[in-house]
Amino acid sequence: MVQKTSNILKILTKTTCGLFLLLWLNVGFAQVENTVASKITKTVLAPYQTKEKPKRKLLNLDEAKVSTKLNPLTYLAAGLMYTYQNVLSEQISANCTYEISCSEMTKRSIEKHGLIKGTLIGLHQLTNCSASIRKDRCEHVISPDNKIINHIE
Amino acid sequence: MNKFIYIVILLTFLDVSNVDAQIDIQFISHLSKQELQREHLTYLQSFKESDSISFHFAKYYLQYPDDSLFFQYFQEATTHFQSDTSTLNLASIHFVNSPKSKFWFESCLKKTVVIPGISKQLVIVKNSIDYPNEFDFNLLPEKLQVDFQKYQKISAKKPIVALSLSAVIPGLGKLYIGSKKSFGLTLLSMTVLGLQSYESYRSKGISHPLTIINLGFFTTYYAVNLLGSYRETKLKKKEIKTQYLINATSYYHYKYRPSLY
Repeated sequence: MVQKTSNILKILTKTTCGLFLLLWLNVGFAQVENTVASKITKTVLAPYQTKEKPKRKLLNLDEAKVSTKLNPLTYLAAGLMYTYQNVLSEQISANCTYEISCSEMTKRSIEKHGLIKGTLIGLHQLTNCSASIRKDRCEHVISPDNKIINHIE
Repeated sequence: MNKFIYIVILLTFLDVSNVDAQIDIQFISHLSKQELQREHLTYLQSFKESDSISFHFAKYYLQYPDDSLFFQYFQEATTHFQSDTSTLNLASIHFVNSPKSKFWFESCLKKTVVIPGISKQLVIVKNSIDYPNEFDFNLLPEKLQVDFQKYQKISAKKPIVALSLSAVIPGLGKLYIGSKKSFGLTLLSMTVLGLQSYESYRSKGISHPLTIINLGFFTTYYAVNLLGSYRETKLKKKEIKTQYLINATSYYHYKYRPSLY
């Protein structure tokens, strides 16, 4: 009787171990399948996934004039632009007519030309921000995604 | 003894393949057409320096543009270029819309005994850029005449005149350079801002904060309009010149289709 019981226990232990082994293998395969599936999904959906926008810097005043660096209003204006770009612009999902957006243009112009001229240049782009403006420009400055290619001069 | 003979034969073969190797033009042509840049460069680098290899290097740097290296190899292989009009034409097409166009057309191209047809026509295009007012547009092909006339018109415009016109009537400087939409937009917004400022001045007086804010906006916008007209004239001049050169380049390229190999 005791031997019978021990035999049953042995069989049960072996069966349990076997089941555990099967379960472990199943989980392993499932994980492999998951990774393959996730890889396929990533590959297939890659063109449709939205890219994360890189965080825009506050200011880069390495090449700016000393007067620009010392002017506290420069930092105030750049701070306002930075806040707009990283908080407001993303919320309203602004779609600019220009390749370099008005806020970015203002910021970079301030870096290059100083506060007054930089702000005026940025404002000029802002006042010319209309889809119909494209008709005034030459073909080669319109990018394939229908934006005006602008440079900081 | 046999081993010695084999080694001698092997060494002779290696020696011949290194020093007196023939340039396989068909193979270079294949590398060029398939755009196998790295293989192309490695193949050219496997040869010793000579006029003909400099010629192929110059072609290489024309296909994968590096202007200063092209000029360096061009100087070494000018004689080879004289017999290859197609490459000369391609170089002229490449340099007509490049900052080094003056160097190419005024010193390099003149070193060749005979200037090929397309290059001659591109010299004419270059002259039309340099002297737009004295240039007779009938010398250009019909398709380029319209672009040239646009360039001729805009080259006579002066940024300071645009600024002065915008000072009189906001946006007029933009109309002067042909930006009609921009003119409309500026005039409209300036009128609205002006009326708003006048209305707040009339109803609330000059010392009221609203009037001060409105007048501040108006003044800023006016300054933007002045600076904008000045800058846009300069920008438009550059833009139309570049567009003219791009059109000239594509016209000659597609009409004559010169190729490197």
